[in-house]
Amino acid sequence: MNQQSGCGCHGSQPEEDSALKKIVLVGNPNVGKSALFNRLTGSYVVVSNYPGTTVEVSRGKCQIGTEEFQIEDTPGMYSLRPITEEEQVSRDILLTGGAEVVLHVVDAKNLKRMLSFTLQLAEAGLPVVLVLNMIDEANQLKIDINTQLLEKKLGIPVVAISALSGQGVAQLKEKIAVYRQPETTPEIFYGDAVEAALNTLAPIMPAGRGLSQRSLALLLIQGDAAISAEEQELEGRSSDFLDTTLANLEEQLEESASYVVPMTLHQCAVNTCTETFAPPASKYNSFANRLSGWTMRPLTGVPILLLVLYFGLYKFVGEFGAGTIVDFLEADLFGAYISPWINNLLQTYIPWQPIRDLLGMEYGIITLGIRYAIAIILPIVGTFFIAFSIIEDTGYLPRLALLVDRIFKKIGLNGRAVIPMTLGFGCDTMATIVTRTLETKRERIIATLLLALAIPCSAQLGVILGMVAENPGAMAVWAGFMLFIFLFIGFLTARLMPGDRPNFYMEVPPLRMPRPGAVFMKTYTRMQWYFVEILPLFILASVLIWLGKITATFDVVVSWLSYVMGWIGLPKEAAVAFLFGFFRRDYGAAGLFDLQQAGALTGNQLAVAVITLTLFVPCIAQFLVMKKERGFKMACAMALFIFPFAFATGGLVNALLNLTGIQL
Amino acid sequence: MKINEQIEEALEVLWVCLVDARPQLNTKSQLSAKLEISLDQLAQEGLVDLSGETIHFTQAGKQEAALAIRRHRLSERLFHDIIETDQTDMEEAACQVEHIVKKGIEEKICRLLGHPETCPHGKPIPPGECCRKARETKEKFVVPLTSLKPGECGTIAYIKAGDSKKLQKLMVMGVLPGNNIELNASFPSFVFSVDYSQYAVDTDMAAAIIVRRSGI
Repeated sequence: MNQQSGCGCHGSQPEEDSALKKIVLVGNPNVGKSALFNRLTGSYVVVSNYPGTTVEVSRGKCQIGTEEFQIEDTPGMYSLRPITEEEQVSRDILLTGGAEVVLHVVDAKNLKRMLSFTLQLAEAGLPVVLVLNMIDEANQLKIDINTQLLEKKLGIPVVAISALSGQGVAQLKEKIAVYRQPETTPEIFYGDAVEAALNTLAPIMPAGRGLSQRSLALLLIQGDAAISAEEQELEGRSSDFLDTTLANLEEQLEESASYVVPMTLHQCAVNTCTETFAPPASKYNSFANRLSGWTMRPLTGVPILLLVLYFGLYKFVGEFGAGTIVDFLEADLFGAYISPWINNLLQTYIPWQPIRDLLGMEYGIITLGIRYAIAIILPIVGTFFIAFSIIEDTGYLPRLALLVDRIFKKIGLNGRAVIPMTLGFGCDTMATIVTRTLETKRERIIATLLLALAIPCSAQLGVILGMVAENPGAMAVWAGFMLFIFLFIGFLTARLMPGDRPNFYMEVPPLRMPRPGAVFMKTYTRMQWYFVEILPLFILASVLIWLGKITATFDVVVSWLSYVMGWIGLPKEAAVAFLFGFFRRDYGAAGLFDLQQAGALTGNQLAVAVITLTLFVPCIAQFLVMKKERGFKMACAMALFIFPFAFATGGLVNALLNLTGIQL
Repeated sequence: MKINEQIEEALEVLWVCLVDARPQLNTKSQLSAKLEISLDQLAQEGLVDLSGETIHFTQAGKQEAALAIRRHRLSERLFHDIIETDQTDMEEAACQVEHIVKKGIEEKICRLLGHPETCPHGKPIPPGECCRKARETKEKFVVPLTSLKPGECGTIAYIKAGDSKKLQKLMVMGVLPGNNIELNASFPSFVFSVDYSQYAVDTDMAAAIIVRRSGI
């Protein structure tokens, strides 16, 4: 996913500079557009080995020859006719026009399939350059592509590159530097009936758009809703005229135009490929292929998933990140040296108690805000991002998606939703943005609610895993309950929300060995974003708590919350942690962690506390994103449901444990 | 012996009563109430045996009835699977088409449909000569992707997608008539490869992909 534009951190995004000539990257999902973007701009957006991860357009600058260009990376699209919202975004960019060059990035191995989109782009009068990416992978498979002949046949420049290794990128830049748009636009013959309709409709389509009139008319006859809505709005056109032409066409065609047009394009692509694309004599079955097969069968896939969870999450994030590193930073560094030193300094040089409390002591900016951020949250988030980046780069996530599709269907989602859900374990804020990749509004609402309610973010998860690691009983109760609530609430929401059952379809990219450089870069970018975003909030929280303390409102709120704590069977001190949780969930989690380290929680209390905290409010940042993505009303409705639900569930778990006499 | 439409219809009704129905309806009074022509006429043609209280098909009668039923149910399948008409249209069209389907055409339809064993209502279709041969020679026939076994390859024959969005999704994945397709896994999702790409889809979408088998 692209966090730079996705998570409210626009710092590294250059503002749109209309004076520069524009290069737009388009192509199917997962063909390496973002990798090429990074290669060309030298800046960094997160690249993943799974489809549908770029949800917003990223912009960057690139020096080609003597000129500077602005480059736009768009979400993946399969054709000029959008299916999902992200595709709509990409199409709109082409529709607005103004691109000096459109780079159509394709996976060289799958040229035959992707070429029809190239034809579509060229026919739309766009200045297309065909980029055969992953040429190294194609060569490895012994696929031979004759780029010169392809160039001649298509009438557009063709370059073979590998965005990851940088092979061929220099030639691509050369081609861009000397690019001149051809005078004539290639046209494909779609048969008499379609051509007649196009001749009638093309002249009335808006001219001067990014796409040619003919191409707009083509989209219209294929039933493109957006184009037809736009056309209806044009003044002086009776919709009868359109309807008659379309009805006429339908009568003449044996199959619908939305079938005939892509089939013609496909046939044309196949014809082009017969001479230019030579597949190898036979496919061989590599270890990666066999492993890929194992990840997709439940019998072997579920144990693999458990292994990934055990080593990736529990061992690495839970034990190493939240255990070893946090212990070192918390106790050995902050506890033994930094905090006493700061407090000493304050006591020696600052005579006013309030200022001492603001900077140090129990809840000060340094001793609480910065300590939490650096000593507790950062190691946990860091280890999670390392683990997640590795998992992501292998291409494991789409395999997980197909494994869980059947279960997810029951909760009104489809396997595709596994990507935002897993990302939620990193940061629910990012994940809420990624729910855009889901097809229907209904799925997006369900996914947003489940993320806010039942998916703990990495910081929370790390802290929670650190807390329950020593108490397997509490861990089992927590994990079981969260899974139950996730499925139960999903199931209920799916029953209550009207709408169709979504279809599941997803490309399964090959399993790839993660590249250490890429994993490092990705982890670094994510941590940087995280740190920049959370540190001010942590400091703000410290200040608010300080303000609350000196005005005594803090104590009042804590005492109210203490009642709630009493109802759900937690010690009064936990109220402070929950209050912190309003500011950031992980802040609250870190507070509980402190409490547990001090030995203030019994096993049962531990279970109740972590369950309540996981369900508890989305943090401020997540709430703001929910508001942005789903609207104010929906976000408020969800929050109003989540608050009481979290405490009620905590109370219920407490009562259940007491009733059954279980001591964890 | 010349069998006209009326007789064919009567034989079909009898088949439903005598072969499909459980418990069997087979007394004279019960059956003649359901027929448009008299039982005597059928007996004269040598199609049914009227001696005794219950009615039986003669050898020739059973053969003719099975053929008529087969043509009817194949026609239903044709309209249901390929032309995708709704339920009422399907039955009406099938009733008319069955009478004009000649032997050669019937076999062609049967092959196109992949020698189906049941009609859209789930009732058995009496197998023809072509079905027996197909089974012996493991003839290539078309089936939905869902009936392929993992590891099996085929050529995409056509896409049976009701709504255009589903059709569009499948087409952009390279699921186009004439392309080769290999089924890699069938549970929990259907995983297939086209060219060098692999896709996962749910049962609903996999069922819309009709494949001409090319053996294992």
